[in-house]
Amino acid sequence: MLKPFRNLFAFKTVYSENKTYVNYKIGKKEEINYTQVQMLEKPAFREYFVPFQCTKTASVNKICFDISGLTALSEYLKTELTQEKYFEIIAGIQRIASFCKKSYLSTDNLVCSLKYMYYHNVQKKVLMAYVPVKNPHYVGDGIGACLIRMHKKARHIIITDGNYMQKYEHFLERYMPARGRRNRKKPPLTFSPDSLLHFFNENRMNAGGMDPDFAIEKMHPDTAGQPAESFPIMGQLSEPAPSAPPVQSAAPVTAAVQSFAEPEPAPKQTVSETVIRKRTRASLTDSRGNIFHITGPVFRIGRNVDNDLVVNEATVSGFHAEITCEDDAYFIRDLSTNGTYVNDDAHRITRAQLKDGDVVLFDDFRYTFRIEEKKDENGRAESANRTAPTYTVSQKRRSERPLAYLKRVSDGSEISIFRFPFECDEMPGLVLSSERSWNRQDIYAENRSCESLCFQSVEIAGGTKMKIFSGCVLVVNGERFRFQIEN
Amino acid sequence: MFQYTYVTKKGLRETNQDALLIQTARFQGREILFAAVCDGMGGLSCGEHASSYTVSEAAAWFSGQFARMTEANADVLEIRSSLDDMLHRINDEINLAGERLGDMGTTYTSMLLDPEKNILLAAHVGDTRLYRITDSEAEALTTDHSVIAEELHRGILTEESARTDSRQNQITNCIGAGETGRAYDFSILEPEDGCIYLLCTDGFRKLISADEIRQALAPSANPDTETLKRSLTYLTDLNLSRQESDNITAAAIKFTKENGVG
Repeated sequence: MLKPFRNLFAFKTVYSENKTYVNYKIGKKEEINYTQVQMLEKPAFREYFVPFQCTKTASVNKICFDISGLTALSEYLKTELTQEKYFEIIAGIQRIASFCKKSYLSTDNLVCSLKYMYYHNVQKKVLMAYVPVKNPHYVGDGIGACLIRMHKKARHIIITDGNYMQKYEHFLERYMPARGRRNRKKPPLTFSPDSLLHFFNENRMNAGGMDPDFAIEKMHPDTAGQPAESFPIMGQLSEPAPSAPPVQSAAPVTAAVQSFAEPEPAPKQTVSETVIRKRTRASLTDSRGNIFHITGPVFRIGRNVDNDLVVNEATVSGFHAEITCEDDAYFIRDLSTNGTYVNDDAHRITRAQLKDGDVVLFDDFRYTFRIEEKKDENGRAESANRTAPTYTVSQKRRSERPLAYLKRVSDGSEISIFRFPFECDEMPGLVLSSERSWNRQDIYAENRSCESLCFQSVEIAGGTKMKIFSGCVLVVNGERFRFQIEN
Repeated sequence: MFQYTYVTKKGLRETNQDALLIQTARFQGREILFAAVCDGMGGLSCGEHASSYTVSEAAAWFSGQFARMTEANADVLEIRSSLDDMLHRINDEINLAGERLGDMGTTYTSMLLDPEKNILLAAHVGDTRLYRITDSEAEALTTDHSVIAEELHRGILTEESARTDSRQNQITNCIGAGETGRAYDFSILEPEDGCIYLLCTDGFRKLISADEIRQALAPSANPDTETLKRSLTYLTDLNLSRQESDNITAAAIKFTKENGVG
């Protein structure tokens, strides 16, 4: 059983460079007919078919149609159309079908969905997508069915010749399934482009008292001057107009930027450009993966709440140590009773220069010093002889930036998160923790003893944890919170 | 059914560092839309490279990885995770290229709308925005990653002082620019029937108010693509008349639950 093309994945892509593509994924079993591909690239064929390019990968065949500057018929039909314009489109479809027949191309390979049939606003002609595959597993919907659908959808036609329109409706009825036809005993006819050509030759719009050539000229500006009998011109083989769109490569945008070429020098910008606020280069990371960026010319560590990093442990001095930055180099100075150590816990330092990867011990509490230029971003301490200390944040320290916050959906109130792992009295049983993976920091929500904990409608069972993301919604004991990481 | 259109203007700048993408997929009768805007930054033409590379990679993700996941009926959390992986991969690639060519980066805001699954997945980093526009309001669905937004949030700046603050161009998060280990924002929402979603760069919305956006892009006043295009052009001209010097880019998508033509 052949499936219709509409069951395939078809992607329409609009790029800001005024390039638009439709990409059909046709499956690896389909064999592309390269004889037809070559034929369709000829100028005469480009008059009727949308330019395309085939790409074969290990798993799929892709056919990329360049529809830049074309209007989908589904959209075009929504506009107010004169009857002449409407029949110009129908005649365009007929010409394509007749051209297929003459060129031994199967009309089954034509995509007959109005969303994927196009009108060229400049050249005033219809273009259709031809899928060049051998022994297709997929077929088009059929031109007859397409014309019937088109007639149903074109609701804004300005009728200038009701009699002609009625005749066309009678013509269409012959191709409708029994339900829509007047004579239900007869099976529907199979549509052939010749029958439509015959209809056009038999009937003339606004024929009564009007010069037939005039009507034709209006309908087909490109055929002006041709004798009336030749309308519509079957399989007209004209050279493409100079304005015909050239065949585009499948994805020039992708091709152009996939490898970063040396940029062209551009004139200096005169207006202020967007800049990124850089984080500090240096940081201390504890054994749980918490990162503390070293800010300011002097960064103080100790138990006192006025420090930049408050380590709330009894064996840590009020002002234990300080890190200073001098000419891009970082130095640590010990101020404590129990000592500060670098890399070697037997050698207490008074002042030492810090290098990337140095392990700094404030009494027994280990931190890894990092400078961001280092490629290996794994900031976790290699080993810790004690678990990371607990931290407290003084309300006085208003200048400290929270790492993240939980915002109540109901009233917009917020709970700031200054440290991971994070617990608070308002959400008992919930623990938010941070783990560093190779190129990002992952945040986990753990249900230690919540009555209920949901993450984006997924239940986090007691004793388990789940990776969450910035912007997600957590429902803690029935209350909704939005989790947001502060950058 | 989706009706969509876009505008992009270089403005007073020498180059247009904004990039935009609107992609629809039809699969087994259902239509899915994916749209993104990026605002590149970096000297020379690096910003253009970063933003256009990001949208082209996003397009490749949609027609490759996302298609495979949809065929396998993956859930939205798996799709989000895949999109997050893709953005972090782009971040690493831009950083790598930046080592050779000089710092470059880009903001990124995208929306993926699958009406069948009733899901709108927004991904965001930087100060580009996604708005949801109804007849009564224009609500930003994303939070700016900018110095001003951060200080507003922390109560350091007021709305009034934020408008005149000189740090309008300072952002706190982006793709590339040597940044590593950053988290990007994602929201999983339910798409609203009949409303307009607007993706825009900061150049489009800095000098106009949310109310002006709502008035121009109210869904009832924009029944078709032509009016939508006219409204976007009007807002762009409004920006230019107020001496906006930045690149201006926006994509408007009207979503209705009725079946389309074809």
